[in-house]
Amino acid sequence: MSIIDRAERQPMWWERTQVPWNGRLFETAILHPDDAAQMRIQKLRGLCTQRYDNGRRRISMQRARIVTDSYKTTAGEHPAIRRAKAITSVFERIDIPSAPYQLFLGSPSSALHTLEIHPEFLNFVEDEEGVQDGRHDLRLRVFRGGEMDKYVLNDEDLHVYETEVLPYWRNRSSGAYIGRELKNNYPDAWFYMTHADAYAYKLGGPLYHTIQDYRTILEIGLAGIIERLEAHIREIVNSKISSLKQIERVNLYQSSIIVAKGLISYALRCSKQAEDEVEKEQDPERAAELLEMARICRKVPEQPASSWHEALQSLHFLHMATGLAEGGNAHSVGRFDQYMYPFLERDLKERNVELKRAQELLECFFLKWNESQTAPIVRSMDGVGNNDKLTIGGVDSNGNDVTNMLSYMVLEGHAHVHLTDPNISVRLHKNTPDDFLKKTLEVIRLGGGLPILISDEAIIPALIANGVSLDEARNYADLGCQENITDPNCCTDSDTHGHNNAGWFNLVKPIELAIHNGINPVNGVQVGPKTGHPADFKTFADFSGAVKKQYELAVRTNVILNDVVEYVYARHFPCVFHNLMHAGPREKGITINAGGCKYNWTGSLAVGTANIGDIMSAIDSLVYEKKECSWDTLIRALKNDWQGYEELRSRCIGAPKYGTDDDWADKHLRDVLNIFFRAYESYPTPRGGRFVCGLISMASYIDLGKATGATPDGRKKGDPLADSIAPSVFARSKGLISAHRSATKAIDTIHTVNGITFNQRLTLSSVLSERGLNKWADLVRAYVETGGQSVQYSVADSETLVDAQKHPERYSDLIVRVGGYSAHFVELDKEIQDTIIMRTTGEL
Amino acid sequence: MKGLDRTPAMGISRKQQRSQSSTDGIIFNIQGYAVDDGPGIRKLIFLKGCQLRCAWCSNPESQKFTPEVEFFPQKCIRCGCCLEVCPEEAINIDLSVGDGFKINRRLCNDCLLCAEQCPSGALRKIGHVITLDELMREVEKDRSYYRKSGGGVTLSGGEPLAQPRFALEILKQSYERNIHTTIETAGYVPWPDLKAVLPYTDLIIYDVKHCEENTHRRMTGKSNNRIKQNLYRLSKTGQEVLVRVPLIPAFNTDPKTLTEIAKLLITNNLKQVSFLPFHQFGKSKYIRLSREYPYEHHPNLLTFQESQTVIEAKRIFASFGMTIRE
Repeated sequence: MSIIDRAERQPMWWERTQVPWNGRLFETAILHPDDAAQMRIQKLRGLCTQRYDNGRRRISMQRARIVTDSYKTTAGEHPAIRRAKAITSVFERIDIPSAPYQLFLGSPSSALHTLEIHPEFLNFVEDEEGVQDGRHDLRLRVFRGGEMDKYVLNDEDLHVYETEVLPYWRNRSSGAYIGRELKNNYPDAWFYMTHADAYAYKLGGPLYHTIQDYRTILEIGLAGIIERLEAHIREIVNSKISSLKQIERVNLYQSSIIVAKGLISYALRCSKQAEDEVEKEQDPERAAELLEMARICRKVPEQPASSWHEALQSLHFLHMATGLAEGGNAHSVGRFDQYMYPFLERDLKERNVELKRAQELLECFFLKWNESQTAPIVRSMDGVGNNDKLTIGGVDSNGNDVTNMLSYMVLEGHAHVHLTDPNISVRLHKNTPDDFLKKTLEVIRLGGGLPILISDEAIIPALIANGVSLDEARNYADLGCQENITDPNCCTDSDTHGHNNAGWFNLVKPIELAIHNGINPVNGVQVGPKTGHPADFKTFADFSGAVKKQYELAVRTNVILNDVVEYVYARHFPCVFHNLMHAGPREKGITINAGGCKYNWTGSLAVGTANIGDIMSAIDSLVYEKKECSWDTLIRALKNDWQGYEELRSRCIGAPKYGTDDDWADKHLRDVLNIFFRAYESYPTPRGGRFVCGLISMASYIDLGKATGATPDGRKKGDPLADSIAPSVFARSKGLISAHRSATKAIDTIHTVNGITFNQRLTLSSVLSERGLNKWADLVRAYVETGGQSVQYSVADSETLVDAQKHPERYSDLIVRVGGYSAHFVELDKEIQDTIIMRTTGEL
Repeated sequence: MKGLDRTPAMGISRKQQRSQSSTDGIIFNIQGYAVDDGPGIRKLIFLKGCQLRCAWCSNPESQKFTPEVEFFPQKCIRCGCCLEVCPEEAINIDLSVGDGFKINRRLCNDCLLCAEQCPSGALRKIGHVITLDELMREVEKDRSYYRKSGGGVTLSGGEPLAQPRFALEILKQSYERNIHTTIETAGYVPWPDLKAVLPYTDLIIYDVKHCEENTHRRMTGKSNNRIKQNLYRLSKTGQEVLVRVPLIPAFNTDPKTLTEIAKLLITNNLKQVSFLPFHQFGKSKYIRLSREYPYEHHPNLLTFQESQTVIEAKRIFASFGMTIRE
């Protein structure tokens, strides 16, 4: 059976889910299940879900090989020119996958469901024993060995990798440069990094997290940009050159022109391919579509877009090319419903497009995002898509609500497409229309956890506190998980290079080092300063002082690491495609890693939030307040991983916990987080910005937990840390509101401009009725108004509940309720759980 | 408080409640984001203790007026700590069989020493004394959420009015703080206790189970005379009352019984009713308390697609012109 046959046999998503989708969203939906357009969408969706059915994606060496070949021929040229030539070579040579049924062309990989490798960012570090393969490389082997079956690498590609790609890049990748730089010039930092287990960091890796300036290119086309860049070059070349910087700028302008032309050539190749397909096409309707697609790809992104279809195609080219050129993920499109709306509005008004067709185009566009993965393979990304965000809703520069028709169309689009990409955020504020909030919740109720809800009331002040102007702050968008930056598509020239993932920071480690007088108990090495034996600390404040010193070193080292990364990029791997796509770097001729953007942050993502609050709470409570145990006993218990100290452990578990609306625990978390925030924010970035903080873990809490010993919150050695800002597994849930309240009390959101993720679960039955839905909306409103920054709800469907049966430790927050009755799902016996699962699926 | 906890008689009887000066109460759970027990988003306070012994009860841990011990078999690590501390030798562990842990509840005097010692959390104390101030702090916490949603506090149980003074004080203080108040009562309480809370209660959810006295006594342990009488008196007060009828198989789901209930309500000029279809979710709790579950083999009526029984019940009540509330 061919992949297309299989796709056609996929049931529609609404048949698969048992959630009744009879809410108001669908009463007013533009497309209906029986529309021909929706048939197309569901066929395309079927193609995208194939990768999940097979459980695998292919790794292709095509891009790696083209880039390697190009670099071999450009030795000695300016790094920006070399990089531009390599990227253009990819645009000119990589296979363009054919796209049955689709209305858009262009793909970040050579085939559907395929992952291209970016060898220039591979992670190799030399060590004393010689050259060691980096983690990235090891993973390729692991995938091949079948330990992780999500990816496939065939023998031919493996051969290319081992004989062509690996030998060239082993000493030339960004990881190799960063490793050498750190080892040779910052030996103390290198020692800390390799022995403290304080970060989960890959040396190397592409640049993540951008919101690029799409609007200018939609409006003037790449041709317009090239014209401007050529003018800049002429200006310098014809002037009296007075600094080396001017000479450098010429090279950067040139590199932008090269990649811009490269992308134009890619679009023309797509156009040609569509024309070739027309000749073979039997169906006259499809042939007409292909002809129109060919016409559009000849026009954009070179020329300005003048219709909805052209604007979406142009945006798609620019967006997919970012992944293909630079790799990385979380390349987000910002306030899509704001800057794309004029194209739609004009087309509808002039009757160039029917509303149904406009919705169909939007959904086809969403589906394109899901065809391929551009993200690198790292464990912290397991189970997610590209994490490229699209933000809707919110306020304008004057604080007016700007929800529009396109905002609703995006909701409907997600309801129909219902895949991981695009990742969608809805901006909420005091005056978000009720109807829009409720429709958003209806979409969340369908399952899958999207959209994410984020609050203007918390984020705008935090941006302003970071020096962003009021207009820019009100036009922010989020990207990736929940990092917040300015959106150049809504405020001209207000671009940000946020460097929003400075590596996962293990919040627990500095406290662990303070407990063990600077020794990392996992390997017995003295990595931190000797802050004293805790038994000598008379007061809790003394202990906090030691914790502060440990944080300061951990933060300082992390800052060095990130500054070196920035240097290596700027010096050896100028991100020329990002430069083209950011107004600052493009116009100023200063590469993005050297400070071309207006705002230049480096953003940490800290992991273990609940743990550090609970650890400090337990220590203050048991050792100082109640004097129920001595430091010596506690440290012995930790060293023995609680063995023989079960009673003490249960006392530690019983100590006040974050997430239960306990003021004591929440205050301890807020205080200790502030130590971290202030340490981090005290550093300027080498680009003239500042370091900012976020509390996001993705899946890194597992690896960081493995590298952390037993902790006074009752956690055992090697167990996972807490997920993002969720309460720990030991916090016996008192229900949704307690967790919401703790979050608003304990998290000082003025410091978390780099985002928080807050995952909360609801049972389906509590939100099924119209009244239940409205109560949920009230919950969200109250959370937003009391200062909550973001929340992501997942409605527990049957799959979640089955997973909860298998992993009860992860689902302590799942509460089953019926009038006058409530119980924790995981504490019910299997038979009753099965009954509840059947009820969720409608079988009962 | 700690010392008190260990005496089996620490639950607070009604008599004690009336006489004592401080208003402590015993509760077994506080649940936020309750959405099925009155308007808006509510905090649900479960007061421990009930005079009725309904055979289908989904909260068996609510019935006794004193703290007791629950056992979660899947958490037991068979360390034997509980054996050593039990002064009554009421615990037996037979390591050779899967379900080898037994508490002899006849010997157990609810001293709860075992729950205190248990390192794995398999033995857990259910029910604890809380002062009025402590409880009000918990109630106050969710104020922003009540305000937004038109919600408030709901007293549930057990029978909340079985701790009349405590219940009255919670309702009064909440009312004075402008928090919407609701109680869920089975009505089997002295009229003065019910009457006393009326000025401070915005909504009363009143359970009516059966009209026929003997059947009622057989299935709940008590006569329904007082319940009917209180309902009559209540209806005369003009208080907002929502009658809730649990739909229990082999008890009250036959058309005749339902018609009788509907007639009773109409006679009392009560126009609003809601249903609580029987479900099996309480079963695990009986196992944890080492008690027989009398309703083990009855079908779940709480289903995704409304069951025929519920549809029929709605039809009967609607035919009397009653409003069916969700």
